[in-house]
Parts: sequence; C-alpha cells; structure tokens
Amino acid sequence: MLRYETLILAHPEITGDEINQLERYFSTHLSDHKGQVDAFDQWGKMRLSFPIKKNDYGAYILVRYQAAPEFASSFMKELENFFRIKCSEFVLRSVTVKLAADAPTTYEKPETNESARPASVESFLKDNKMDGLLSSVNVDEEDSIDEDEIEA
Amino acid sequence: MSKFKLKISSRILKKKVRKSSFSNPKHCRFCTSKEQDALIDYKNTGLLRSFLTERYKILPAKVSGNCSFHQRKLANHIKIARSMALLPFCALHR
Repeated sequence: MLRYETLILAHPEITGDEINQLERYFSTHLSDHKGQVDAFDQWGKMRLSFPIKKNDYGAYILVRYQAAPEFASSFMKELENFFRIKCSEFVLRSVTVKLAADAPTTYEKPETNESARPASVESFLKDNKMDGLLSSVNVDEEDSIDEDEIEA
Repeated sequence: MSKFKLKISSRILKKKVRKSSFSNPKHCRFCTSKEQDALIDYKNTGLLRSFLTERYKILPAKVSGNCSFHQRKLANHIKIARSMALLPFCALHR
C-alpha cells in the first residue's frame, strides 16, 4: 500500500457541504479498492503569497491516504477530473505527492504570511489606508521660524 | 641588459588568488543529519524560506553549501510550494 498526500487550495468562502463532498469522494473511492484515508486536515483560511483569481486568502485542505499500487494511477486521473469538472467552482489548485513508507505522520505546517512586508508602495498605502506618502500637512503662519531663533 | 618587470601583471596576481581560494570544502547540512533531511517538505515554509534570497530567488548551492542531491530535492519542493501559493514567485506580486 503506497502512501500519498494531496494538498487542495480551495476558495476562502468554501461551504461545509462542499468540504463534505470532498471528504466523501476520498473515503468512498478509496474504500472500494481497499485503500484508506489516513488524515483529512483542514488548515483553514490562510493568506496566499500572491492573489489567485483575485482572492488574497485561501482555504487549505490536506488529505493523506493509502492506495494499492495497481489502483493508484487510475485514482489520480479520476481525482483530477473530479476537481476540474465537479469542483471547478471552489477548488483552485491541488498537488499530489508520494510519501515515503517510513515518513512520519506529523508534518510542519507552513508559516502564515500575515506578517509579510508589503511588496510595493501601492499595497502599503492600501493596507494603511493612506492617500499618499505626503499626506495633507497644515502649514500655519504661526509655526514659521522667527529670525531671532535662527541667529541664536 | 637584464630585463625585469617592475609592474607585476594583475592577471598573474588574480590567478594566484584563485588558486589559493579552493580551500573551503562544502558541508551539506542535510547529508550530516537525517532529521534535517526528513524536514525538506513543500509544506515546511520556515525551512524553505531560509534558502531563498530577499527577492525569493533560490540560493545557489555554492552559497548554501548543499550537495547536488539535496539542492535538487530542495529546489523541487520550493517550486511545488510556489505553485500552491505557500511561497511567492517574486517580491512584487501585487
């Protein structure tokens, strides 16, 4: 039994029904052919490194499963079709990776991008809700420097 | 008349410097410890980020000291992470 994992990048406004639809797909198709789902982790809404389809956030779902080698290749093709046709509304990206047989069950979750520095001047202004770098400065006549101060 | 060169050519000096700077053998941190090797994963953005420059370019093996096997493995996982939006492709995205 070979171990695989699939990371799904879903729309941030994904509903519970759609998540259940994904979970049911994995459990039914795998159990039909003597496979099993090891883990179905939802990482939740995370900030993306770059906008995908105009979304700055995305919901990640990690599925770890085992499948027989004869069945694995056909399962991957059907999975890809399933994501493209039935789940095209909410599944944005997905990647499937083969795991080593002795790989540990725990993994390091990725760090969040919330504290990342804004990349450009425009995004910095947008984040801090500023109109421009030189915001309106009121120069009063009272604040002008006196000649006496300069001499001293 | 004996000919002697007052000015030593810079080419010869540079050649001498190049020959003497071979002395740093690379130490691949993944070859020495198996736990570090198991940590190379596209999900482990903390580790992968340390192998990227400020502009999110992959560091060459000469700088990071990795052997070719681990450099390829690391680079492939960085590329997977980039496609899944866990790491950016470049610094200016927006």
